[in-house]
Formats: sequence, C-alpha cells, structure tokens
Amino acid sequence: MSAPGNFEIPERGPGIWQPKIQGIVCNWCSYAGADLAGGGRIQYPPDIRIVRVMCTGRIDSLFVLKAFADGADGVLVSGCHFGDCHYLEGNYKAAKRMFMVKRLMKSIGLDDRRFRMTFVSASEGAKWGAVVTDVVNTVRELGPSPITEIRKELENK
Amino acid sequence: MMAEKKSTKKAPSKKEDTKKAAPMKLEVKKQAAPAAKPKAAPAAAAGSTTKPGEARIGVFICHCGTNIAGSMDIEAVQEASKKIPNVAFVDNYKYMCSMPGQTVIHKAVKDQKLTGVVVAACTPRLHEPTFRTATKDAGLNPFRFEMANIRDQNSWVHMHDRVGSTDKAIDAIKIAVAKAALLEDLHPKSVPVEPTAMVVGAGVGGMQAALDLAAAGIKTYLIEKDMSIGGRMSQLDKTFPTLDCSQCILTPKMVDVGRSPNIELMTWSEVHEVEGYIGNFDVTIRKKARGVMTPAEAEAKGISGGGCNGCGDCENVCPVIKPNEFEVGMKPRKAIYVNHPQVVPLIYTIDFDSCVKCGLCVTACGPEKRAIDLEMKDEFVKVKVGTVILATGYDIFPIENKTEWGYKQYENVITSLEFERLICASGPTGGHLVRPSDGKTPMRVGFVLCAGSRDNTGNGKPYCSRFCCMYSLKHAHQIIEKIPGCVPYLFYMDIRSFGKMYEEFYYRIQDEGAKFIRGRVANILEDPKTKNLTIYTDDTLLNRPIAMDVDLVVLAAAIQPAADTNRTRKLFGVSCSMDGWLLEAHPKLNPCGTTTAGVFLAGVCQGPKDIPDTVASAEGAASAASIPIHMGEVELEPYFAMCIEEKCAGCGMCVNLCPYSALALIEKDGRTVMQVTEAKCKGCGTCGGFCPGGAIKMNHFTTPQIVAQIDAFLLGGEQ
Amino acid sequence: MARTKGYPEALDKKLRDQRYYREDSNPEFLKKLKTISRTIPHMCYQCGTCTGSCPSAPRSTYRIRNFMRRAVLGLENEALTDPDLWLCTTCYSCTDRCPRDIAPTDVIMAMRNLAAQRDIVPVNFLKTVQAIYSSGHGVPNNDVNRAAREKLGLTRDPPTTHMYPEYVKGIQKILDHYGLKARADRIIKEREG
Repeated sequence: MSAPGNFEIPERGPGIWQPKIQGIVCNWCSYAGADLAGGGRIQYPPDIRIVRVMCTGRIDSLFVLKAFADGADGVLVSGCHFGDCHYLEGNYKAAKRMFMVKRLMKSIGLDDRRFRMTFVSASEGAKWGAVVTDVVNTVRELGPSPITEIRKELENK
Repeated sequence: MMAEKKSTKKAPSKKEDTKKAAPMKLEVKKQAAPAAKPKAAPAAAAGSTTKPGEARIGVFICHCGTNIAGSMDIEAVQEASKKIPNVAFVDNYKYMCSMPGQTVIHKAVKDQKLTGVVVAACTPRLHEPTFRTATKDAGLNPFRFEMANIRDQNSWVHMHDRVGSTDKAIDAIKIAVAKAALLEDLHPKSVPVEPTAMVVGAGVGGMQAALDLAAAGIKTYLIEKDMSIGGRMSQLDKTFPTLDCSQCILTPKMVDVGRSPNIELMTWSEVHEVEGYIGNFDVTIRKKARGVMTPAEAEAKGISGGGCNGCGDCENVCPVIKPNEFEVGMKPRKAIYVNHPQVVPLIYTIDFDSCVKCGLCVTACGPEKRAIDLEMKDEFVKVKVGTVILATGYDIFPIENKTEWGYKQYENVITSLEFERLICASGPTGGHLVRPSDGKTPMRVGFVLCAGSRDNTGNGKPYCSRFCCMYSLKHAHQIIEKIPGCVPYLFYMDIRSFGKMYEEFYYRIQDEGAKFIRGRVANILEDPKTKNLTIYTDDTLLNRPIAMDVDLVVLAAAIQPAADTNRTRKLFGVSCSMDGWLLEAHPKLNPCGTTTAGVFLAGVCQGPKDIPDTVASAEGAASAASIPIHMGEVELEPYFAMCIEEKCAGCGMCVNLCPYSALALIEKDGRTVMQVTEAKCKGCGTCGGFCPGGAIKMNHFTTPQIVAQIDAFLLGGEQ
Repeated sequence: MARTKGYPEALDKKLRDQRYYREDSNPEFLKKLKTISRTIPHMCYQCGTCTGSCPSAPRSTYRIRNFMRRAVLGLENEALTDPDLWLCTTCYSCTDRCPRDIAPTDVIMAMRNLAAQRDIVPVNFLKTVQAIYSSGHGVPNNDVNRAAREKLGLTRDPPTTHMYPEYVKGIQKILDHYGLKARADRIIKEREG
C-alpha cells in the first residue's frame, strides 16, 4: 500500500482520447476537499471541470441529464458525508435523486458507471484525488459517450 | 415521519413528468437567449438583471507568482479567453489580490463599462471576499463577481501537465464567464445579533472564553456536561514548563467564573437542540436531573435559606460506593458526591444510575436546607444566543486497545492521567507515587511516549498528541524530586519540545538525571510473581535491542475528541476532519472559526493543544465571537430561495424537503403558492433542486446559471 | 550451536550483540567521567554533530556519538573495552561544534584514563610512553626530518630535549612520579611475553 495521495495518473497526450467529465460539487465539503488536494499538491488527471453549488441538495437531476445530453462522458456529483451536511440533510436528498438518475440511465441504455455520486469531506484532499482518478479511469474504459457518437452520426447524415 | 414517507413515495411519479418536460424547458431557454440579443438596450444596463446579450465581462487572470504561471501557459489562456462570448476585456497580473491587482480591476470596470468580473486565480474559499470588495469598490454589485479556480484545483494538482492544465483553465474561465453573464444584483440582508453568547464546555479553554466574553460585557451561557467546571486541567498536578500547581492557577479562574455576573453557569447540562443562524441561535439545553437544588433553585421553590451548601452530610450517610471517575477510578465515591473538594460550583450531585433511593441523604440534609429531591427530572431550558464557542475538549485514547503494552492486563502499567492523580497531593494516595500491585514506591519507572499517537495501524491515532513529550518530562521531574534515587526512563521516538521555555525544560530534566532511550516500546511483559515489568525495545542510537526491567510503566496515551464531540458538532453543523477533531474555517488564517457562521472553536476540540495554546485559542475565539455582538448586526449571504409564483403549482413538495422549515404554502390571489421565510432560509437549494415546475429560484445559483455553466464546458461556451 | 570453523570468536561477538541484554549500566561510570572530564556528558541528546565532525569517523569504525551514548547509559565495560576508543585524534572539532556545549573529546580522554587504570591500552600507545621516556618526544626526530629542517633553514634538531638532552631527566622524573613508564613496561612485557 502506498501513502494516501500517491496514485498513478493515466497517461495523456496526443492521440489518447480524453474524456469530458462534469463535476458538480458542494461548497462546504467536496469543493473544500478539492482545494485541500491542491494545497497538498495531490496530482490527479485534469479531465474534470467543476461547477460549484452550495449543497448537493441543489443539484436537480436535470443538471446531470443536461450534462449527458450536452455530451459529457461522465458526471461526478460529490458532497458531504451523510450526517455531515452543512445544511443538515441536503446530501441525503441529493443521494435519493441520484439513485433515480442511475435507474433512468440504465433504462435509456446509458451505462450508469458514467455517473457517480461520492462523499468527500473538507479534510479528504487525498480522497478527492483518488475519486477523480478513479472516475477518469472508469470513463476511459467505457470510451466516449454514445450520445456524442449518435450526435456525430446525425450530423454526418 | 409520515409526511416524509409520503413525499418519497410520490416523488418518482412526479419526476416522470419532469423528465418529459425537461428537454423542452431547456430548449425554450436556449432559444430565448439569442432572441433577447437584438432587443437588448444599453439603457437597461442599470437594471438588476443583465440579459446575456448585453453582458460585458472582464476576465482577470492571476499568475499567483509562479503558482499558476509555472504550470500553465497564461498567454494561451488569455488568448482563448478573449474568444469567449460576452467577454469584453481580458488582462493578467502577477498577483491579482494585491493592491495594484485590484486597481487593474477597478480601472477595467470603469473604462470598459463591465457588467461582471471574473477572476481566474485561487479558490473562492480564500479570495472571494477580497474580489467581491474590489468589485463593489469599482461600482458594481459585489455579487456580479465570479471566480475561476485555476490554482487549487488546477495548477497545483496538474503540475506536470502543462497542456492539460491550460485547457482546464480555459474551460474554468468559460464556465465562470457563463455564470458571470447571468449574475444578478443581490443585496445582503442584515439581521440583528442577540447580544449573548454561549460556550460549550467549561474546561480551561471554555472558562477563558467565557471570562473574556463576560469581561467584554457580553452575557454568556457556559454549558458543562460534568458536575463541576475545570475540565481536564483540574485533574492535573503540575503544569509544564513552569511547574505551577495546576489547581492553584486554575482555581482563581473557576472562582471568577462562578462569581462573574455576566456568566450564567450551567453544569450537569448538555446542548439538546440548536436552531437558527448567526446572531439568532435558539439553543435548547438539557439540564440533567441533579437530585440536588442550588440555593437559587431552592429559593425559587419557596424554600428560603435552603439548597445545597456543600456541607457533605449527605455523602457521609450514602451507602452506595462507586469508583470516582475524576480520580480515574482509583478512589471510591458515593452515589451522592462531588468530584473533589475544590469544585465550582460546590453543589452535590446524585448519580441516579447507582442511587438506590434509600432516602438517607434526604434525612441527613435536614428540614432547613431541603436540598435533595430524589424525584428530580431532566429540565429543558431554551436560550437565544448570538454566537457560540465550542470547547468540548478531549478524552484519553483507550490505550488497552494496544494490547502489547498490557494496560489493564498488568497492574503496574498505568496511564499518564492516572500518574497525575497518583502524584497529586490531593489525589487518592496523597501524592505518593506507588505501584498499584503492592503499594511499594517504584525505583525504576519507564515512560512510553507516543503510546497510540503517530500510529497508522488503525488501532491508534495517526497524529501527534502534542503534549505527551512535555508532560512526560514533567513526570520525570516529579519522580526525581519526590523519590530520591528513582530513575525515570523515557522511551521516545522524538522529543517534541516546541513551545516557549520547553526546550529549556527538556535540558533541565535531562540534567536532573532522566534517561532518554530512543526507541518505541515494542512490548511489555510482566513477571507474574514480582509484578515487575520488562520493556522490550530497540535502542536505535546504540543500534541494539534492549530488555529493561522497571517497576512501573506510565503510558503517555494519545488523546481523542471527547465522547460527545460528534453529537455536539452535528447540532451546530460543524464539520470534523478525518481524525474527528472539529474542522476550522482555515487551518492557518482562521483557526478559531468554522464554516458555520457564528460558531467558533476553542482549545483541544479543534486539535491537540497544550494549556497555553488552549488559552490563546480560547481568547481568540472569544474575540471572534464578540465581533458580531459588538457590531450589533450581521450580513447574511443573500443566497436564499425565491418562489416564482406564476410557475408555482402549490404542490408543497418543497415544504417537506426544507430542513429549516423556511417554506410554507399560502393562499395568494386565489391560488396556493409557496412562500419563503427569508430569515429562516440558509440557501442550500434543496427545494430548488427538486421543484418539479422549476418555480424556485435559488439566488446566485439559479437554474439558468448552472445550466449555462454546464453548457459552457460541454458545448464550448455558445448558448 | 553450530560453529563455523575459523571464526568462532567473531561469531560469538556477533551473537552477543544481537541477544537481548539485561542492562549492565553502572551509574558511577557517568559520575567518574564527569569528574575527570570536567564536562557534562549526561546532557548529550545524540544529534550526531560530533561523529559528523570527526576526521577519524569516515576512515574507521570510530563513532564518538556511540561513546557518548554509552557514557549516558553507564555502559562502562563496553566503552572501555572497545578498541575504537583509541582512534580519537583529539582534534577537538566535536567540542567546537557540540550544540549542547559538551566537550566530547574530554569525555573520550576521561574514558581512556579509566581504561588505562584497568590496563586496557593498545601497545602502540605504551610504546609512545617509552619513546617519550627515552627521548622526551612521542615521535622522536629522524634523519628525514632533520634534512627537511635544514632545507628550511632551521636547526637540525628542534630546541627541545633533542637539542638539550640534559632535560630528558626532568621528563623522566615526572613520568616516574606517576609510574607511567613502569606501567607501560609491565603491560608490554605481559602482552609480548
């Protein structure tokens, strides 16, 4: 086992496909955790773009679906640990919605591993790095989003 | 509970409808944006909302020295930013947060008639207030500012990927610009601050904080779960490095707390429930049934001249004998007891778990005082406070979990807290250090430092407990002083004597004859006949294994957050770090604050601290907690929810979702619509994320803003 | 125990080193060292500055920090029987640099004194005593040196007992007073048969 925060970053460069991953994180835990990863200089792949909200409770299921519709290869929603929500219980409510999103994705034939909800607290910088790396690796394995592919086909026609 | 279940059952069916409506909703918005473009009139710029077409955003890229510029191509970022829609001006500067940097923003806002400001720099958690002020000074509404995080979440975490970090920075700016273009003027609301404060925990930190607040003229509730105040410090014998008697320096403070007219001391009490926000916390305190009335309580019940005066007659007759927790179980106590003779307040307490209700104490107390009430019940008291300081302190790590050291298996292995009580003149042995097995005076004492600290096995604490080195040095001094010929052996990994006069103290103790052996103790074995102990370790300096016979072993056990810390922090909405200590707002620049406005941290609950550091942190917390009270009012971030009444169908789903009961359904113009009580709303957005009709507008995090951010990244900035 | 032919002593020593030992500390040792060295060996916190400064350490197994450790723990036998004790060149670099202001060189000298009392002295040191006794010099002058001195325009012999042999007697008187020569002769005789 290596020390926390020391994991392998997948290779990048010309000719290697890079996924587009939309992150939506809460201000108090995961955004702070991501900042802490910065302070700790924990290196992870740069394929994720973060949108900050005050609480994961704010995240409408439609935001996630909109991201997929726009062509995201993966979506990561991250909030506080259960019982640690700055607003008492926003993350519970978000988690419920996100389960629903997963079910929906399955039923429309989109691999639900493209979407993940995690819980990273403000003191878990290393965990944030590990989570992002893992999401990027998973999405890389899955390849480009079928929605993008279909859109390309339609455009070519 | 019923309501909760109902809402979850309903959710999926309602959601289906939303799903169908979703693409349409977004489609409409997409078309609406370009349509608004030609209509945009420059005169409307003064209005509170800026339509996308008329937004003029300034992007300011910070180098942060080489922190950002060293890992990405600032030129490329600047060029790409110029091409982003709505961007009217792009500039970069070495340090955007510096005075000249802020002047750049000022000038650009004025010269370029900007409607929004985007600074690509560090994290909004660090510099959002700085740049909001700069935006405000430049004449814009402060909420017309958005930050792109290109340092903490970019240059620092992709240090070796110049291309990747440059691309990510460009996207981050696109995302920020997309939001900035849709930002609206917001006006923070001021709320009055209740001019009272609360301190939870009356150890040395809590007492200092309460005394400071009281001295500043603020009425302070001091809540203590134990029967008396003083906390851990009152259990100690001496303090390092001055060797002051702990009780001697603590008692005056305890008495001051008892006497101060501004401090309302509530011992044997716990925080039960917390509602409200900075300036207006409604705290319910559970006053545990004490079984004994204070003179004031007796007076209130019409027993004049009654109540407990601490005479101790009750204790003498009580037939129940229990181990005294204050003496770490090394002395007996009765079911009605005080921790030690100097307690403040000097009021007896009944341990109802062991009381047999024989009534002997009631008789002993007599008809005048009538202080004892065996039928007393827990009471709930509600108080309103403006700010809160948590000073919940620590417990000793259960060191018996580390079986290799044999605590609780071998009689002569004790913890340092037990040592404190044994060496203390008011302790169970009257200050004579003895072996628990046979009562003999030990002549060779082994001290195991880092016992459970700096331990990543999972059965231990990964952090340094910070004061074990110093108190073990103090213990070594005490036995050299009290027992002639007794040799202390300190088994250490590092001696961390970092404070003022600490290294000098270390020098002094070494000079007095303490022996230091660098090596973590691997295990301890007992001779079953003599109960002597053999310590096995490696003398890493001699590079050789050691087996050393000693009479007594003192484990400098690690510390951990006090048992109730987790419960208390959740009541106040304070986060904790991975090891359970409460999380400060910023480890360096705001160590007393928390992410919950109006709640502050004092002392060890934030992380291990010795007494001077605890007192310093308590004074800092008291000062921070008094600021809102002295200001008289605080500004709340205007992120509250708003109901768009024409869209609201009055379904009421949001009402159950709100954790603060800020939403309610009302009748308006013959329709049922939702209404937000802004003072109660904290702006989490849970309602807004759920509303099936999109009828809730979360200020500063509106649906169009967030969708624009997503589009900006995935569709390249064009709406 | 299986013994390898050829180096039984070496193996014994090695095994002795690895066995857990009941501490054989003698607190008197530290006290004696303090008296003789007039410094504060008990204050050593084992930083290693001394060994780092030592010109002997990189070329030998001599570790002054080890001797300081033995002094603190009172490991008398171990310190005095270690042949490394005699590898100090008394350059005093460690004394100059010691952050706790101990004079480790003086502690080593004190240990040598105590060792000598027990007749634990290497023969070459004893031969130096004999050389001083006979010539007044630990390293007497020789022809190479004389030639070098002449080249530099100096006298062939330095203005010491070499130039004034009549003073050798005085030196012998001092050494005799402490019985140093007789002791050296006795030990050398014992060792060399």
